[in-house]
Amino acid sequence: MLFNSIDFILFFPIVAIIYYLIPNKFRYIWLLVCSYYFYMCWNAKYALLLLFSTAVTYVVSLLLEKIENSDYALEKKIRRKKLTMVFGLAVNLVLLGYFKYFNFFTGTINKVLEKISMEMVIPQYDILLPVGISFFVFQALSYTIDVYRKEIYAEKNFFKYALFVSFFSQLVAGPIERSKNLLKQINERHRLEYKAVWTGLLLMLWGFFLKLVLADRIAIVVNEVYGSPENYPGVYIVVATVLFAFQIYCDFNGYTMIARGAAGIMGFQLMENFDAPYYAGTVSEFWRRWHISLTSWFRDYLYIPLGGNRKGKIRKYLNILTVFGLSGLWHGASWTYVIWGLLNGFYQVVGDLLKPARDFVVEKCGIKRELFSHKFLKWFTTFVFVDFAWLFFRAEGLGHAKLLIKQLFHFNPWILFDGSLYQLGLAEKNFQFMIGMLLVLFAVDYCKYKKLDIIEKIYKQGVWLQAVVFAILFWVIIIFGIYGVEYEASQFIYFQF
Amino acid sequence: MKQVSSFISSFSKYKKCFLMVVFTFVFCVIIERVLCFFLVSDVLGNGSSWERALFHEFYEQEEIDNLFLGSSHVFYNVIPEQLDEINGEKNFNLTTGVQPYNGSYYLLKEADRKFDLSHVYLEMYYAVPVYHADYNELSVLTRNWDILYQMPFSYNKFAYMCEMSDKEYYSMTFFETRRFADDIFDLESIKNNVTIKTGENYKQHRFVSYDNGEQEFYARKGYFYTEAEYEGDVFGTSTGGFVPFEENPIGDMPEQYLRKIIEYCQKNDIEITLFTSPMPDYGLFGMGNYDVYVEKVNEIAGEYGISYYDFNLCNTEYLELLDTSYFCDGEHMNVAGAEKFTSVLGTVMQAEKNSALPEDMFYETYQEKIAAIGNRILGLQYYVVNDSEKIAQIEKELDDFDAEKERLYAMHLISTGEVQTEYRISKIPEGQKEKTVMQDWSEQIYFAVPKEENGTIYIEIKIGNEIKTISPIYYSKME
Repeated sequence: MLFNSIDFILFFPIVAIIYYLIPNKFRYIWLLVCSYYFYMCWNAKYALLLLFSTAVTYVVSLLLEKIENSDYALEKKIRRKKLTMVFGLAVNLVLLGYFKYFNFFTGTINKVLEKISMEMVIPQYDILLPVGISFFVFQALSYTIDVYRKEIYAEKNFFKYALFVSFFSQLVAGPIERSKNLLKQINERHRLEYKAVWTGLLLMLWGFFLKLVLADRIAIVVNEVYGSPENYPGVYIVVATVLFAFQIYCDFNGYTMIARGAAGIMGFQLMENFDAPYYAGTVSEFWRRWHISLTSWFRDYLYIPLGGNRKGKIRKYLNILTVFGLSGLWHGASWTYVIWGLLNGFYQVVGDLLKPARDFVVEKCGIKRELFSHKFLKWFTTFVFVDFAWLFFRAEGLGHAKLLIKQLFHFNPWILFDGSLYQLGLAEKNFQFMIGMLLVLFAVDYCKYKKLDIIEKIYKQGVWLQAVVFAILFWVIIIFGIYGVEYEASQFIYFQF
Repeated sequence: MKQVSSFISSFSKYKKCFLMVVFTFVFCVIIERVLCFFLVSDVLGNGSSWERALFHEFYEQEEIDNLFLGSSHVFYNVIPEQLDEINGEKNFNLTTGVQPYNGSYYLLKEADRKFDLSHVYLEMYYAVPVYHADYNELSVLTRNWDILYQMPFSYNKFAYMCEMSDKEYYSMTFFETRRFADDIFDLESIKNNVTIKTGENYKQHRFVSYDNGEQEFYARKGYFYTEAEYEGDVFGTSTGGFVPFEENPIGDMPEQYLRKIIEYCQKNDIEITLFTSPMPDYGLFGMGNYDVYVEKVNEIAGEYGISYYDFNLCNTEYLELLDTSYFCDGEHMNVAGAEKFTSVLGTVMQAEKNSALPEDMFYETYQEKIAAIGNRILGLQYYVVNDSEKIAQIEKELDDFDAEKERLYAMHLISTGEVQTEYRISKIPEGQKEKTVMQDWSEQIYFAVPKEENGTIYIEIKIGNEIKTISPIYYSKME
């Protein structure tokens, strides 16, 4: 069931209304049932996988706590705890590895064997990737580690824990929630509050706007160019890659907004996943603003345990490259994702190495860092680097990425002015509308960047003005959304991860 | 006192919520109305201006006894006022272009809600279920939307909208403006809409023909007419081949609604009769197995104990419409044809009530009728040949045909027996006034015109000493 489907439009109000009608003590059961139904709409059999992952981490966490409270000697306790945790992590990682990476690794090995003229071939299987597996496995892993680290108590109620792993609004594409945040809220009583419902609805509308009006509209142009780069060289690829940066942002942020809105209506506060990322002045800042729940996950559960920046510069850079390489692999079983991740890590390493030189230039030239022009230059250069990496993310394989880069080196800037861009699937007015809506997005993100809470501002206005905002957003989505008879309900890009 | 203050405090708590819901609803409706005014074109395309006039009159009626449902084969061919005179009852055609059976079903309920119906005549144009096998097709949805535009909101309309298609299509069904989303940047279209909607014809629900100028008119009670006669002595058709009926010529979905219509009538004590309006024979004969359709409808009618009259099977002694002068095009009748047919239909309606229908009025099968009319020319098929192998073969046979530069046409005579024919083929390319003869009385059935040319082709057919014509064929540059 996609958020942008009629099924969800019917499903969600029913879930929310019944949620508030039933007594508090049964609400988590209701949400658990709905969450599994939501997941089973996609593939009923894979709900067993979700259940298995949940059961393993639940039992492992209880064992961890039991060992912790036991009378074992400290050394034995630590060893047993480690073994138990490693078991829990390994089971989940094996699941993830099998369903997501088996064919990738065997395919790579087969290619290597072929290169060295060995006739051995490792068989590959037709494995359907369970939707959202990377998200719920990571959520389960973080919970296990948190219990191991004694940062939280193990949840005793299996159903509450199962709801934490499977909560439908963030099950398939995040945000990757922490037990300290979501599990705690599952145990709280949520009252029906006007502001929560109001804010949730507005977030959902904004999410639908980002997905249906912007992301899916931009996708038409991007798909056309990336679908046949041989026909669209030079500036076409530049335009498509710039647009892709916004497509993926609107797509993923749109999903997150709907997820946060839906949860918010039922009184749950999910974590922010994006913080005006394209207003980042450096690549590392970009990663503090983009997919925050994943970045912070890698920081807390991989980068810091690896030593972070505490073990010297070389180790720090190695840690960054490891984290970003794995982050790339997390996104998809393809070398293009790994390159994308490593490229982002590389930018940060180089950025860190060049920082003294940059500071020197700024100081010597007397550049005032607070000037808009300086900030703009930083935003722009960061965007260029990040966007170049997106090319690998969007490419359909290494060969495709190579072709795209080769095709980049064509000089045809006139296509920006001679109407050629209007031949990419969006007619002139439609293309201009897309640009206009992107400007709206820039404006909204700028407010966010400046820590201006637009939602709160609107909330403080008169009821009639709030209603106008709702009505306009609603109709913009209805009229300008890319959905319905002519278009297939397009999946959110992050579902595949 | 405590309870009162508690009530007041709870009211003020929910006041904001209540106001928000009301304001949002009001603003949504206002925006929807404004967008509809500028975007929604409910009078252009598919003759919707006619439907607007029709439905306005329908809702203004005080009484309807006999309701006709069905396709354009009713609104062109049946004259309700003539029937009023014959049977002394109130007849009304609530028929729309290629009306899908689900549309007929909800229109029946709409009419039954408003009037005390005594009899429903459901027309069974064979192509309706063929075109409308899948209700999710945009072409079918468009036909249903044409009806929706004219229906005021009611539970019946809501149920119709919900059942009209799969839920993936609801956005277009429930939001009229969504259907015209692509026009939002088309200022010409918006301007056109505003001009039409602010015009007196629109306000007065008058019919205006946007396609055929002054040729077509709306009379009253759902009758739409033209006096124009088919241009030619023999029906011409550009179809490459007729598709014979499959095992179930009605299809599952249309059959389901056909049954619902019959069952609704029977449940609500409304008599129902199925009938098929007469058509030129070239299509029915060309199809080769029209009797499969007749059998299927007879089977359903028999199952429910109701009558089915297929006027294509009517004995020519009672209804003779073989001449092209009764038709305005290859399918529909003009006034002369409609008057003739309505008279016979009225007689059948009366006879059915009195159980006095002559036994020999209808043949059992279409084959019987064809056998009875003897050796006749029914029409001429002409079509562009697209099969490259065929084109290459003809290129070898025809000396002056150049497949690179010309498009090839083929002809096929539809007749009930063997006929010796010769053809003279002429053309007038665009910009010229004189006819150029391309083929002068020969049995050759292939001819060609330049791909880069627009113009008109004239075909004459010589049968013995008689020369017949078909209506001119317009051709245009190939893309």
